[in-house]
Amino acid sequence: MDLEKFLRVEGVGMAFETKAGSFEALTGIDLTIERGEFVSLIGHSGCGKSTLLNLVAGLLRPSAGVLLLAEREIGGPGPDRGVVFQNHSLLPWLTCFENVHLAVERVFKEKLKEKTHAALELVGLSHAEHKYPHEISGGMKQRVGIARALAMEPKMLLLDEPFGALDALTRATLQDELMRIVERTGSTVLMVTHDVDEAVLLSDRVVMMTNGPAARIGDVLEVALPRPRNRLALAHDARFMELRAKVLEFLYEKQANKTRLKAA
Amino acid sequence: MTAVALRKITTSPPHPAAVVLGPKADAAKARFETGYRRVRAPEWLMSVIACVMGLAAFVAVWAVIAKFGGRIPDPLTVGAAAAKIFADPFYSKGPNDQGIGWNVVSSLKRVGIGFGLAALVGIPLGFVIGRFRFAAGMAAPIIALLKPVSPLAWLPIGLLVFKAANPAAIWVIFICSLWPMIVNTAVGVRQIPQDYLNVARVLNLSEWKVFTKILFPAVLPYMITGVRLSIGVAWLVIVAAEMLTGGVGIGFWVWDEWNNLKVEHIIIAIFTIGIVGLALEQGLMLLARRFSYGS
Repeated sequence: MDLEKFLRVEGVGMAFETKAGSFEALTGIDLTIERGEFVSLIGHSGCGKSTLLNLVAGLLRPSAGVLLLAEREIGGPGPDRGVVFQNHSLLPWLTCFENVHLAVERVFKEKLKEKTHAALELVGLSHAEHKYPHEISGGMKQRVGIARALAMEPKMLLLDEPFGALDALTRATLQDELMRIVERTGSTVLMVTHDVDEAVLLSDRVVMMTNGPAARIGDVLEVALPRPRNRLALAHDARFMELRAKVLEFLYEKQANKTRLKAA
Repeated sequence: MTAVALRKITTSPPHPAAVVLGPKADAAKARFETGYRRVRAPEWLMSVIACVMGLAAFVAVWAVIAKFGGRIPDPLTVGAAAAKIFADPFYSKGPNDQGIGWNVVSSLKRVGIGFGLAALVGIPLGFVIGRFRFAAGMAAPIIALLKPVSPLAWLPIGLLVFKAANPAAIWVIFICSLWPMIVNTAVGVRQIPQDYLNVARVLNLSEWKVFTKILFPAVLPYMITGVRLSIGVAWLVIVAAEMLTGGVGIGFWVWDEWNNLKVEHIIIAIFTIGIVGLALEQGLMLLARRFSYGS
């Protein structure tokens, strides 16, 4: 298999039919992601970054172009891609264990309990296995969501603003934990975010998207910082600051949209 | 700081509980004024007191009406009659003379059967209507047209088809329970958050898993609401239906006692019907709480 091109997005466009006619969200998207790479999608709200992630997840079908994962066309959702949603999306009538087990039993035939335990242990939640989602904090719920996605041992992990709904301290903790987990599992990750620090800290590459409608990839930033990365050390690191500045420049100079900023 | 707080406490009006509690309250009041601690009756005690006072006022108004208002029996007469009736609620002297217990049981039996049949038909129908827009479009005019009809209007149809009083009464219960079941189940299905359905899609769950792990638990609270509304209406309707059909049942018993001019028994029946209805409602509320989930 060609390791260079694990995920291939070729000439993808996405148009939605609305009452006011056709709305073109994405156009001419070309992107390849290597195995084991961590790629972030960043852009202003409404730029279609979540649409692109949903296309990779198979929740949407592109109106133009093709998406390939390991040389096979993505024709719909599948357990080879683990998705973590922004609002955790745990089923409230199942315990944490049962939520993860639901994913495990879909993919594997045996050692279901061991795999479920292992996934929850990976995110540090062994002690909360038998709690219901409403009994645990927002950060813990999001960790269960990550465990559910990882438990299927997917080829790719898709994160849709995974920490967007969390407070800053919890977010930092979970970012560190995600880095640790990805390091250990060697997962290939595509993450949607609107947090510049998060994108630079976690990613190997940051894909910056232009404003919609008809959003395109504006620029791609290589983040060649060595791993493991330490948030505190990087806070004063000149290379980190420079990369961060580049993303900010892209978002607030090249893609500044006054009406949109005002609305936000 | 403490002086201000003290003055504030001592000048606040006496708590209503202090008025009701009598001698006990005097001690409380003493403490109240020394300002050591603010005495406040617990929440549940206040609601019990309010409840008792409400009932007492009701009985008092009733007693006054009975004294001046012709043939309404007073609370004491009714109480004595109730003691006699409830001393032996399950006697049976032939089909037309049975204890109040048997009457309530046979009414509940009719409600149970009619309601159970309505659940068997209404819940699957509700799922279909909630899931498929076209089915919803088909059902909408029928439900809109038939829902406001008094279930009793269906009684003659039941008598015609079943040629007997008992199944006709059950038929009426079936009809009146059916609409809330269908509508609430359909609403529940339509309210399932897209997030849960997305989970089902990304996990690629089988149809059976989607139903048992996502659709059914998500709809269950709505279904229980439907059940609660249905049971409430059914219990209202059974009394009227039994008045018309006769036989054994609390509704018929009311009519029978009216023919015997035993007004105190009618009042007892009113309270009995109320208490049974309340028990049904509360039971289902408990059930609903068991199956409602925070997210």
